Amino acid sequence: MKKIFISKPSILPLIFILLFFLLLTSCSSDEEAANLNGPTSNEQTIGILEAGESSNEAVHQAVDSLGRVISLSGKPASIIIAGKATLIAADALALFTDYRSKILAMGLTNQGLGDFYAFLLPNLLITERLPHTVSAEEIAGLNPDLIIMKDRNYSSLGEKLHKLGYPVFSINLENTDDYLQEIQELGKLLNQENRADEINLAYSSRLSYIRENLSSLKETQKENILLLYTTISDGITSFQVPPASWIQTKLVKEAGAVPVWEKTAGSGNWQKVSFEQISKWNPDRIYIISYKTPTTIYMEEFKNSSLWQDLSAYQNNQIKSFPADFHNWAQPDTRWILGLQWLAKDLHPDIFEIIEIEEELVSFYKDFYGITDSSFFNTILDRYRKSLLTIEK
Amino acid sequence: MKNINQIKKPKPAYVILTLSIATILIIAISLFTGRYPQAGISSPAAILTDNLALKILWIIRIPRILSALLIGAVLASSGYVFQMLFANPLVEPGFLGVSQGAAFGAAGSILLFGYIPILTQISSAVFAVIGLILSFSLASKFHFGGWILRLILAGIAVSALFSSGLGLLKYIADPMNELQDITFWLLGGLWDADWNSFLSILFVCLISLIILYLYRWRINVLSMNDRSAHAAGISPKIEKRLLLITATIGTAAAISVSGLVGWVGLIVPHLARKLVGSDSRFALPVSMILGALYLLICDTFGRALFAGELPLGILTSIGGALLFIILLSSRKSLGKTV
Repeated sequence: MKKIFISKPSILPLIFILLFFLLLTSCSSDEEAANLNGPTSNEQTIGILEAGESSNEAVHQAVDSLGRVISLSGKPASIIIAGKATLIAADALALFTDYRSKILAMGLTNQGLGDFYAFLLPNLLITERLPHTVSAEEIAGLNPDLIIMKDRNYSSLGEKLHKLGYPVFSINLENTDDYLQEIQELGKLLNQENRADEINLAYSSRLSYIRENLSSLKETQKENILLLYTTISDGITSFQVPPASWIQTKLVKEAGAVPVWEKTAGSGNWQKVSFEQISKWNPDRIYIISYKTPTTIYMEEFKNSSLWQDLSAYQNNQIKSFPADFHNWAQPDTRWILGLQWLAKDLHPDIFEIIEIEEELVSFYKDFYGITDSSFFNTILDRYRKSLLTIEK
Repeated sequence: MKNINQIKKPKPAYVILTLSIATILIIAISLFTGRYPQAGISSPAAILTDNLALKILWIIRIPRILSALLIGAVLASSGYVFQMLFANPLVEPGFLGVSQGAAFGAAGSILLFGYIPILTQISSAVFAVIGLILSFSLASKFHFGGWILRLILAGIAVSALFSSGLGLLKYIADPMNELQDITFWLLGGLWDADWNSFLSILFVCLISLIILYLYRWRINVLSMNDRSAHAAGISPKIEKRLLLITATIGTAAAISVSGLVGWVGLIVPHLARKLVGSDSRFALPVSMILGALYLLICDTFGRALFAGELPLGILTSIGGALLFIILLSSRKSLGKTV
């Protein structure tokens, strides 16, 4: 009779080999894992001298947030801002006013409160915006000279584009210390070092003013405050606090207050907290942050909640919404400096009596974005004023 | 009225040949379909004369097409083996805690390190294997029912554990960042597939496919009751375990790259049996080819239809659900083929 079965024992070693290789596959990626943020700077130099391009054009080099050295010959004529968290990258590039017209395409920037870029770049139609899940092929089809993205997109999107020969500049901009350095590097890449200096001067002068005026503030004089990122899902409101290293926590410290969550916050992500924890902290002040929706619904909810009424912050009329215009100011986009100024003034009105936030707001858009349109200022001031809410006992 | 057994099916060899030719055709179409140099299908001349298009072909499309074929074949053949051995037409290859384990691993990695493809793949593969090991060790500790029943119950328990862990991770995740990444991974997709990821699973998936293919003869006997299998000279308990482990390890490797891609392991085996009957000698290879073809078609649509990627799991689910409805509505009942 013809033997139709393979012998029994032959499968056992094969399965062990299979299991072994599955685990080996996982472990053997250590080398790649070590290079998660891209190759080392020495390996990363990207020359984009195109065929036929004049070789005597100056080559501009800059180090991105992943430590990669990017080289551009001449000025990029077309730029794409791609991937998730487009807003952060877009806001940084838009500071270089000469390059706004070079933006060929970019991802969606409306977080839910409105779209600054519908005003700033009216020719860039919303229908031409790229989805956050845009593919490398789609970007290649647009053939840009430079692609800028938040660094968390590099491994999933940027690396493919790098392999296709496109220069990809990654940015992080997550904390106040590195912010100015990253803007400087972007300026170098775009051959706009003077503009980068101007931007950094505008930031550092505002920052220095606050630091100098708070330098004599004693620890005991600092209030305990809580920044609460609030979201609603299926009718349930949840609260989150940022990690200690994020810009939101840094803003509180720079503004001369103690972030009550700092010691208990996680290291890499927003951390959900319960109302019990908020009660335990019982901070002097609470600032409500909402990125997607106006804070109105939350403020109404807290005002009518018997739970919230026992908090010290409620009793002292110190539950406020963190201001916003098109975007909330408590996030790592360009507006963090406005957030800092506002918070410092709100915490220390005597020290910062001279700061007029509405004037600073107008000045910010003039200095940083070169906007002079008075109707825009009316719009932006209106948005700012509407975002300021306080729960009155 | 014709009885189900009287319905004449085409010869398996013809079916396999036809499907193989169809697969080659779809591969050719897929190679020239994408978003560059134009959205949709480009002419070979347009691709072959454009340096960038050639780079895209080599760096992005070819590894992705190969990954789709490999993963589709593994998921479908594993699903086939599960359905036959469990004598249940509704089980699929992620059944023994593997899918939920992989999902938990991927979500944990995204939450801890952000979305970094290689770490997510490693973590999902490791937790998929942990899910499998837990299911088998739990099944051996249960004290009632037959081996298959114990394994099913253990799989349900382990899946539930990982599922609750996944729920916790999603609850913790930042809705603006990590939750989006986790959700997208859970919906499945091959947007991260490249030569590295393809080669990293190639060996495991190929060995898994080869073992299942070589054992297709025995699956017929193993799908009968244990006494019949014993009579045919087979030790069903050991061999069923070995086949399930092989199928599950292949699945773990596949979903570590693709994320959770539903319905391939469920619907494709049904289609295969519909085409060539329930003789595993033919139904298994047909499942492999059909699975590869199905996933390739879905992935081609997913990457070429819009500027943004469509999650693969959504497309396979839409197609799978429609096929399921059609098959169930058909007069040639599915249940008879299992």
